[in-house]
This record gives sequence, C-alpha cells and structure tokens, in this order.
Amino acid sequence: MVSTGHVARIAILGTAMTLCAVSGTMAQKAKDTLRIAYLDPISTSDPYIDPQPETTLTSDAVYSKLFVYSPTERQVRPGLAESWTQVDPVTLDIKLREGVKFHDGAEFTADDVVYTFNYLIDPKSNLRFGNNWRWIKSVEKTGKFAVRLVAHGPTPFALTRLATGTPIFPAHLHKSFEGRGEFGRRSAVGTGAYKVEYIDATRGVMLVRNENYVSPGPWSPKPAIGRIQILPIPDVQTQAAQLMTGGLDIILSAPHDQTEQLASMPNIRKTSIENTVYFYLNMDALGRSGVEPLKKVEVRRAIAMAIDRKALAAGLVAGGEQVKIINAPCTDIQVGCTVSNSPPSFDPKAARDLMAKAGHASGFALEITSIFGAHELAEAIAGQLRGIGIRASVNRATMAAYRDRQTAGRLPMLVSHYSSGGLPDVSAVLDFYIGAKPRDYWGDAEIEKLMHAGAVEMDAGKRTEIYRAAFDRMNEMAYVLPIATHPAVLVHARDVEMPSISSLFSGVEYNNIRWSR
Amino acid sequence: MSQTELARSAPPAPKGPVEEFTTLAPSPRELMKRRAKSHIGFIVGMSIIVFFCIVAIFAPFLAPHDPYDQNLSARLVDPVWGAKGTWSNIFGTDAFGRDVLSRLMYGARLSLMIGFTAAFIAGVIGVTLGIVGGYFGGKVDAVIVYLINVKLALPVILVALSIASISGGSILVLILVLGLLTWDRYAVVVRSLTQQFRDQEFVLSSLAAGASHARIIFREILPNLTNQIIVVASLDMAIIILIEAALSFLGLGVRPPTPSWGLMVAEARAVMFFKPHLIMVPGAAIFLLVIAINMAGDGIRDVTSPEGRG
Repeated sequence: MVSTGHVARIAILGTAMTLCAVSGTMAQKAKDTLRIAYLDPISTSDPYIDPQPETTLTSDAVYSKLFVYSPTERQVRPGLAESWTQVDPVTLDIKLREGVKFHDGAEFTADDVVYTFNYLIDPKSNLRFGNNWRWIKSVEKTGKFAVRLVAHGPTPFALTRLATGTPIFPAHLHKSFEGRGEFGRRSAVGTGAYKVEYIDATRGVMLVRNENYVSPGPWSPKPAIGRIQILPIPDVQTQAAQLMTGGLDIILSAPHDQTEQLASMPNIRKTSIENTVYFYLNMDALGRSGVEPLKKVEVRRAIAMAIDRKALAAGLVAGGEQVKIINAPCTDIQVGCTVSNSPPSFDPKAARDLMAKAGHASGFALEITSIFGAHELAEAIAGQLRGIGIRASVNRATMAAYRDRQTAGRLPMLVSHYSSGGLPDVSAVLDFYIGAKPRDYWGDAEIEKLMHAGAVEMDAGKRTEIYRAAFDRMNEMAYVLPIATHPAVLVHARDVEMPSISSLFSGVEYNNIRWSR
Repeated sequence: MSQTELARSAPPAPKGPVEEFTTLAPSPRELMKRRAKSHIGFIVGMSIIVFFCIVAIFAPFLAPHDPYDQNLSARLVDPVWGAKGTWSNIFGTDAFGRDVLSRLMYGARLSLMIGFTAAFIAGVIGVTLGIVGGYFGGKVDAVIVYLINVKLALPVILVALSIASISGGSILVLILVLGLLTWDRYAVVVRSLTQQFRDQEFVLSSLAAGASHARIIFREILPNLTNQIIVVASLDMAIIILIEAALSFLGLGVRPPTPSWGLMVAEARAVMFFKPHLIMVPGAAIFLLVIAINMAGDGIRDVTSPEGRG
C-alpha cells in the first residue's frame, strides 16, 4: 500500500524537478543569455573557409553583407550598401553606408569591400565554393564610400548572391594573417549585430551584443538579446534532454517525431521557419551507375507515381503547415521558382502498369543513397517502392561518401535535401544538378541550354519563362522528383520567440530572436 | 497351501547382488544426460535458443504482418499495454507504421543466420589452422602462431567498422567480415588440445598401424575436439550477434529497410524519451538471445566435461 507520506514525497520531488526545469529557462532569461546547441562544433566564424551550416549561421551574426535579402518582402534590401545603380548589364555602382564601425573600432570603408572581393575572386584563395563569385571580373574603389563592381557578363543573380553568404571582412585584420584561415578563428571581427567573445570547437562560441550596431532597416534589426552562448552537443538526444531540463534554450535540428513530442511539453515550443531548403529524389537517367531500367522515362515516371509525397511530408517532415509539396526543385522564396506542370501524381496501380509496359513487371533491385537529414525519408520511399516491385535498400552515406559516389557515378537514386546555400534565386538549383559533369545524371542538352540562357538573362520576365521551361522539362522526363519543402524547425524554451521565415537555410538570424514578453 | 499364500510367504530376494548390478557406473552418455537434465542454465539457455529458432524459421507463418509493410498514417502506435494499444500490433508500430513484432521476428532470422554462418566460417578457419599447427608443429606451427598473434592484435570492432564503411554495409559483407575476424579463439583452443592429443597412445597406435595424417586428424583427433569447439562456437556466436547489432546500430551493418534488431534500436533513438518500448523490445531480444547462447555454452561445457569447470 502506498502511504500518504510517500505520495507527498513524490509530489514534492516532482514539483522541485519541474521548478528546476522552468527556473533553468527563467534564470537564463534573467541573465539575458540565450543557449543554443550545435550538432557540429565550429572553430571559426569564417563561412568562406568553413561553409558548413553552423558556421554560416554564426557568421551572419558577426559580419554584415552589402545587401540583405528580405524573405518576407521577397526583395533585396540595403545592408552595408546604402544604395546601388545597375549602370549596364555588367556594371554595378554601390554607395556604402557611412559611420559603420568594425567591432575593434576601425571604420568601415570601400577598401574593405574591394579587399574582400579581391580575396574571393583570387584563385589562390582556394575557396571551396569559390565559383559563387567567379562572375565578378573586378571591383574598384570609386570613393571612400563607393565601389564599382564589374561582372564578366550579364549576371541577373548578382544582388541576391551578394546578399547571401558574402560577408565583408576588415581588410586591416584579414590581410595581417599569413594563413587567411586564421582570421575567423583568432580575430573574428566584423560589423555585424554580435561580437565574438570566444570561439572554440570545445567550449563553443560566446556572442555578445554589438551596442554600436546600426540597423539598416527592419529587415536586419538591432539585436534584442544580450548574449548568445553556442554549445557543441553532437547528439540530438542529449540536446533534447538538456532542453527538457532547462540546460538549453534552442535546438536547431531535432527529428520530426522528437520535435512534436518535445513541443507537447509545457515549457517547450517549436517554430517552423520557411527557407530555401527542400527534399528531392534524383534519378540516374544517364545510366552512369549501370542501373539500366532508370534510363527509361516510363520507369522513372512509375517511380514518381509510386511515391506518396503527401504521406511522406505529413508523416516524416517536421514543420507542420509550413511543409509544402513542391512541383519544382525550388521554394517560393527563390526568384524564378515557377512551373506549369507537376510530377506524375501518386497512383500505385498505374505505376505498376507502367512498370509492366516498360518490361519490368517483376521490378528490380535498387540502391538508394541518402544523406544526413534524409535517411528517414529514403527508408519510407524504399518501402513505397516495394509496392511496384522495386527491391530498394538504403545506403546511409556520410557527406564525404556521398560526394565520392556522386563523382564516381555511383548514385542510381539519391534522396536528399538541398538549400541552394540559402541563395534566393533558382540559378543555383540548375547549376546544382547539372552545372558540372560529375554532378550531371541527366545528360539533357535542352535543360543545359536553358540553364545557360537563364544565367545571363537580365529581363526578369523572360528569365522566369526560361526556368519555367526547364522545370517543365524535368517533370516531363521525371529526372528529379521534388518532394516537399524542409523548413528549419527550432525547438525552444517557451520564453523565446522568433519569426517564421528566414533568408538563412540553417536556422534564423540571431538578431531576429527575442525573449517573449 | 495355495499358490497365493506361497508367493506371500516367499523370502525376499537377496539385496546385495541386485543393487550392485543396478549401481554399476553409468555410460558417459547417460552421465551427460543426467548432468544436462539437472543443469538449469543449460535448460533455460537451450529453451530460449530453440524458441528464437522456431520464431526465426517460421517467421513468415507466425508474423502477424509483412515486416516491410508501412503505413505512414499509423506511425508510432502504442504497444498493447500502452494507452492506445491494440492487439493487431502487439508491440505497436515504428516510425514508418511497420509492425514491431513482425520486424522482431524477421530480425531474429537475420541475427541467428548471421550468428550461425559467421561462427561457422570462423570455426572452419580456426579449427583448420589450430589442428594443422598443433598436429604438425615445427615451422608450420610457428607460422600459424604468428597468424594467431596478428589476429589477436587486431581490434575486431574497429576493423569491422572500417571494412563495413569502405565496402558499404550488406549482409554478405557482414558475414564475411565477422567470420574472418573471430576465428582466433577456435585456433588457440584447438591447437593446444591437438598438441596434447598428438602424443597420446591412441594417436601413436594409429600412426604405428600406418594411418595417414588425414585419417588421424579426421578420425582420431577431430572427434575428441567436438565438445570444446561447440563451447567456443557458442561464445563466438554471441559475440558476433552483438557486433552485428552494434554495426547495424551505427548504420554500417544491415541496410534498411531490412529488419534487424540493431537497426531497430538505432531507429528508435529519435523517440526514446517518448516511445521507450521501441528501444526496449529489440534491446531485450538481443539481451535474451545473447545471454541464452552464453548460458547454453556454459551448460555444454559443464555437461560434456565437468572436470573443466571453473
């Protein structure tokens, strides 16, 4: 028999634990310190050297860009640039803001812009995504606060590129390091909303509000939270346990089910953030991997018809109503994301008929490769493909293994997600699939032609039509099956609020997070 | 006096000789049977193994659902003892709406199959090397001892992880890797016993009678090693099943959606705080099978050679 005293002790213990959990969050709000967990530790704030999502997220707080893409308005807004003029299709004159200071007190001028761009376009810099800035021919200083940027050819996505992942570094500090990679580790100084107090792969990162930050407008406000502590916790379950017990305020990437379960707790909330990331399934129509059936358009269409995208999105993709089924491999945030048709709709019976017509009534064996974040989706797709006789197994690849296989032509089917690096323009999408031979599993001359035409078309209307034709062709030929958007779902303490849209693909701008009232 | 009375009054048969007759030393087989019947660990271990074998062999008939059948609208259904549990899914469903019990049954097939096959491969390699080294001695033995030492210096899990990550996980790769990495126990035990047997009278008399080396190895030595090989095989199988589960858990073993206990534990990690049964059920199955094999192995050792206990 359970005594009254026993029940009372349990009740007291339970209350104490609840208070501890709640007070953990409350105490941090009182200290004005937001604690965020990163799965992968970072040791630099330099996104050019280390372009992983966590570094990109951190660098957005530390460094400013010339332009800011406002996802709510779907347009480019001023950042360090005050105004700009497109002189001709290849020339852009930019007037810089005056009175902006770096965290070390040095004045921001045109010299910093010229230095940064010269560093980016110098092949000797050996940057992993150096191609992102190869369109720039030269940058020259036209005044203390004015620069002229000249492109090799018409570049319709120039402004969006400069608004995405292109922070401006202080020339005087960056060039003082023999190894340029040292700058982001040892002297992370920018003009952004937060200063770096320390950055270390073991301790994490401590960001402190830059009291001198001058907001260019509501699209990049002054930071509301005093300190942001970033803790490297390389296990989602440990992060969840920390969040539940008040040891953390934000988890950036919890799995779908865990997100829902955590958000059902009284002191925890979730916020789904619309961004440029989406899930897709890519097929080897070129036969590089030796899986002959995939060369037939009937088989690829049958595969598309066997996959219930709505069920996948509803059951496995975190984000609730923010998750949208997409008909082209891009998201609404991206300029030029329009399509006239859609992939074949879910119809397993018609899919089986199509397989039989293609001479594969008894199916075939197929290996699906998936990358981190898409493993669950790949396994569910493997299950759905059994419905048309395809005996699929899932190879859960690391990022390095995936790249090796991609280059070696060993990806018959890939289930993955793509962020466009946060670029709010579809030019990144086509380049991602077929921009280089090792990436091209379609071998479609028509789409390649459209990609090149779209990349230099300055007229927005004509450009949209070019991309529409490319996306329509992708659906007709069933090269790729766009599945659904993949919002960033942040699970956080109830005391924290943030907007539900972001120009970043890995989270939300830190200066947009605030304590709830 | 009637016949009945005569019978009643007949003196009882003398006790001594009859008792002596019935208490003659039982045959070794009889002794083994008696020891087996009184060895609780052996009985429990064997019963659990037999149960898992029956489940594995008859999984297609016993499993209530197809282990690959997914229903995304019925994901993470509670087990029958849970608040919303039903008897149609006794252990509930996983994150893809697949029946956990059915996957557990098919997973047993895989664990036992990998355990048996890899232990067999290891056994063939280890026993062959052990007998050859122990019997022939000299340079042959020196080479084999060198091979055993090299093998003993290899960290099994680390090497298995590396090979699985390079070649990509598959059942065949797993079986071969585990078979090739766990033969050393057999070789050590068999070599040392063969060295002992080599100089014993029954081997020497066979040699004197003109028997070939092959005949001596297969007809004289190998039958005497059977019990020890079975004991080593049982330990080896338990270790192999655990390594398979560990590799599958790490994503380098069996590929999804193939049902595997290690994979089931790995997939349940995401919901372990809220659906703990999804980790506990396959975890308990691994625990039960491994402990049962160990108990049965200990039992076989005690039953076949009680003098070797300790």
